[in-house]
Amino acid sequence: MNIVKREIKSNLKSMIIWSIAIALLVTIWMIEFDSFSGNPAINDFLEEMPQEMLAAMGMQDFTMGSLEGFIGTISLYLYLLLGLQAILLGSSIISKEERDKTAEYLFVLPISRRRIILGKLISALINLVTLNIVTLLSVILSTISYDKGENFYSFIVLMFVSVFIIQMIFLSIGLLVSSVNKKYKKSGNISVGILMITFLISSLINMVDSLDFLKYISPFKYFDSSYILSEMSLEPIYIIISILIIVAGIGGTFKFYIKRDLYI
Amino acid sequence: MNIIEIKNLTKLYGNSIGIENVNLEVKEGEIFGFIGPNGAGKSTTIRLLMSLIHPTSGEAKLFGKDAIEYGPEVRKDIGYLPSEIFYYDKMKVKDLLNYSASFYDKDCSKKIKELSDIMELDLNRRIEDLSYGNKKKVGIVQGLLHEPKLIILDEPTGGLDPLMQQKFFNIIRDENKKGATIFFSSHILSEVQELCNRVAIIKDGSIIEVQDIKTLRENNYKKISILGNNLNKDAFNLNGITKLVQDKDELKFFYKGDINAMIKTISSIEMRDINIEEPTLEEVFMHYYE
Repeated sequence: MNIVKREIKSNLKSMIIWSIAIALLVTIWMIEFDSFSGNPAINDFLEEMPQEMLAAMGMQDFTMGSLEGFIGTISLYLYLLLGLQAILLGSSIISKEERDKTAEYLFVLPISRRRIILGKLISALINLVTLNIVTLLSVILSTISYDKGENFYSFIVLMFVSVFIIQMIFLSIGLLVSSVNKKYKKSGNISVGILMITFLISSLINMVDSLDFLKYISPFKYFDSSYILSEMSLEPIYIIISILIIVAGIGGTFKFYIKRDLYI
Repeated sequence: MNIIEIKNLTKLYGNSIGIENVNLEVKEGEIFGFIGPNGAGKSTTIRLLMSLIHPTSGEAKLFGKDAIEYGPEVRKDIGYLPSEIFYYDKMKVKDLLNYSASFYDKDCSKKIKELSDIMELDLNRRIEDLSYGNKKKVGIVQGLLHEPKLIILDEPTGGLDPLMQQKFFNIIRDENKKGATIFFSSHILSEVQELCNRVAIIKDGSIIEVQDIKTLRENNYKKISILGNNLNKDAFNLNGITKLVQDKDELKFFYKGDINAMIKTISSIEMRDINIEEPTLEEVFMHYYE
């Protein structure tokens, strides 16, 4: 419990900054939407844009005019940002003890590495859930004055379940990368690299149909908002893949980090 | 009872040797010195004991229990002072000490007060504002606040001024009198001589010898250099003189033996200056190093 508290405290500042930044971003997006929605010129403009370009930005299936459509479009960026925060958190929460050379203090205390990782994991979960809820609330609050379709709130809730799953996927990848890697600088770079490559793959898939088979390795393709909007559910196959990744990442973290020599 | 028992412990880093086939036994109540030059494998051995790293082969037992398997349990009774102290920079000293204390199932507040009074430690400062020596003091308080039965010190005196060093040695002696076993690693011979009962000498990853400190004292070499105009090398034909070198008007040698005989010899010659000093660790153990 003392580790959970300590970790939350040490990550508090960065979590507050992320929360404020995301809330601001959502608000700005909604102000932008406000200027789109009443304006037929925007839809004409979008129709004239090359399809590939829209696809690269994940905007191919939406009319920007509807609120759901707009939120569907920004969902990809929420996945990206919250995924980035999660993978950085996952990788740093493990590797920072070696980076700051506090490993020689923490790991000689009478507590097992398993318990230390568990404490860090719990604090990371609290961190992710908080940021998720802050984002959800900012979407709900900034759309409060708009006309909404009847399924709006179920759509939003499903979307934020997806955001949470994506956060968990990247958190566990970040944890795993830094628990295998002795060099903390490398862990951060690899983590961000994985995030950027999977994001790039998802953009490529949108543009090039023949790359569709790659969708299983890019979490950004797992919970496409157009599917959520039309089916009002998440695709089970991707839920299963996600759970497998999360279990493997967290399980691997426990397995490898406990046996690894610490870098001092 | 052996508090520390190390059997054939080996740690390889890739192809390079950290330590090789180290065997050691430290008995309850001892102050055991662990001495060797930098890079000899002292810290590697200690980190294996603290299960920060894992052995390539062999085993280490603390209080009769395997250091890795029962790590968290045995570490309840160990106080560890690493050679370099790093804590969470943003924390205040007292928060850090209380955080450390929260991992032990006992009230450590009295001991924290007592130790920080002796070490003149300001509990309200932030870790990041502390000097190297002050961080060391925090390390000493933090390592001892739970009244450990085994105290492991890795080059503990760096950064402490002589006064603090004496206070620290007194604390260590007190803890030892109360029953704590001390494992003291250092590359400075004089501090090991001052404190320890027995010493192990480590070089290039292997233990060369385990000796009583008394024996080591008897092996007490002096490093003597004499300046003079008409020095005669042949006047120094006493038993116990080694490495005698004459360089123009300077004579240098090591001496191990009856100091009175040496003084007589020296007093019989004409000289400008004389210098008698403690040899460095490397020089004392030169017969191991040759």
